[in-house]
Amino acid sequence: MSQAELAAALGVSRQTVISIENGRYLPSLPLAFRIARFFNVTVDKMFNPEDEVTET
Amino acid sequence: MMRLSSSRLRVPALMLILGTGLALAEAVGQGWHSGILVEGVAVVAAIGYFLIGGMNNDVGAIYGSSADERQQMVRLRAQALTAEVTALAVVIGYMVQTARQAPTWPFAVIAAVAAVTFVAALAIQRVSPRP
Repeated sequence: MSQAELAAALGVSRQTVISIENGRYLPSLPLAFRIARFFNVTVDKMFNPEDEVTET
Repeated sequence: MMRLSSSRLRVPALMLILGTGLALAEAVGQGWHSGILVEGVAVVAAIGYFLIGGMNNDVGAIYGSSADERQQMVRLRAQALTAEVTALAVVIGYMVQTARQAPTWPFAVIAAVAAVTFVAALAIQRVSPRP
């Protein structure tokens, strides 16, 4: 699956998908749930709070 | 790649309307040559804004009306920084005008509008002064 396809499925831009992948942006809770639901995992599995993520 | 939505026209249309108002003021105060020049600048600025809003990237989404949550946050932060720099410029302008013994009321009006707007914005956002 391409970043563009994932972005379209989530209703965000491709640039936002890239920013989330790179850890440069922390998604809102609704978007985090949409991402987790899309990949059929829980939010805490998807976004490990132990990871160091810098919000921009 | 270009995308077109009616809401994308909102800001360029506003720029055109305000620019035309400014051009009319220029025409009345400085003559029609000056008014036409200002109108030309307003038209070019509005068209430029519209075209930038169609670009398929962050800047295009922010200038246009198709920003997602991250792009909206970037726009909000950029607007906040713009407001802070503008407020600083108003204070510096007020100081310079005071030192020159020139009229300070335009800067005072802008500062008052900004202060009232900030308080109103807090109320609109339902920020309560109570703990």
